[in-house]
Amino acid sequence: MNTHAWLIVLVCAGVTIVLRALPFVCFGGKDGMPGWVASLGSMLPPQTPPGGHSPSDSLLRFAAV
Amino acid sequence: MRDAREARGRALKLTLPVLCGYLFLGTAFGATLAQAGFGPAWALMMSALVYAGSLQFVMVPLMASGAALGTVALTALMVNARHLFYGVSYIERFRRMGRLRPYMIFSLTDETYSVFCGLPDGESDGVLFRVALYDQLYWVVGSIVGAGLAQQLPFDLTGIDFAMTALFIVICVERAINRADRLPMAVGGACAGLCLLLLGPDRFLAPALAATAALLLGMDTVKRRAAA
Repeated sequence: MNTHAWLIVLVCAGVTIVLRALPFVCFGGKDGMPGWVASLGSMLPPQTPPGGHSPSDSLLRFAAV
Repeated sequence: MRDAREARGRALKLTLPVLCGYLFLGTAFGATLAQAGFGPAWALMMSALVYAGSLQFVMVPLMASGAALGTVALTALMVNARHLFYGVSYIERFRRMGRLRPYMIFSLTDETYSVFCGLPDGESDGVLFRVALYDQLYWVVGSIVGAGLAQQLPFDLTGIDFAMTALFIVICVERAINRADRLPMAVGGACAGLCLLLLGPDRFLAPALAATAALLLGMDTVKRRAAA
């Protein structure tokens, strides 16, 4: 077993999970999110109304044709 | 029982585009890894533990050349910096998911984030969890198949990487059609284009995301002050 390659995998796994978890660790406490983070969070993902269609619907319609 | 079956069906339907992209790209990753001398077991371990497509491709030459761990950490930081922005949108939503929360945070990839963006606010925890789980399963299976095939057959990877680009174009067009306010999308596109011109394709992504976030925050502040 290649120990150094193992270490590279572990380092990459560690950095990735830290980056993904950082917003939750910093702003996910009992104090709640600061206003600017909430604003940014609401603007970043494009919201669709309930029942709005997903990419899969178009793909399925295309496949049906 | 019926709820679980419905959630499975809905998650399978939602993740269909990701299935197409991940199987092709996962296979390409597995084949690249095998050509560097790392077999299906490595593909399984990397896709299960790291689960970050672009970083996994970058890791292959680093593993093959035995790169220094500091270099590896810095590379991982640069390649995955964009993940900082994805979580911001789901802090409150994932908080309500209890024991599923750690896995939801771990599995928030570009593609899973894209699928989540199209879901209504009231979507069930079961659907969200299954979307994340199925996406990772597609990636893991694609990686293992690619690594296995590359050991048996000569593998030409030309063009396979365009599968994910095509998927993101489809998702972006869908979102543009469905969204009433397209200004944030236009700001993101303008920032990405400008940073691409100024910094080149290898270094534009993280600065473009940071500039987009800063501009959107600035616009939101101005709008709030005007309304007050």
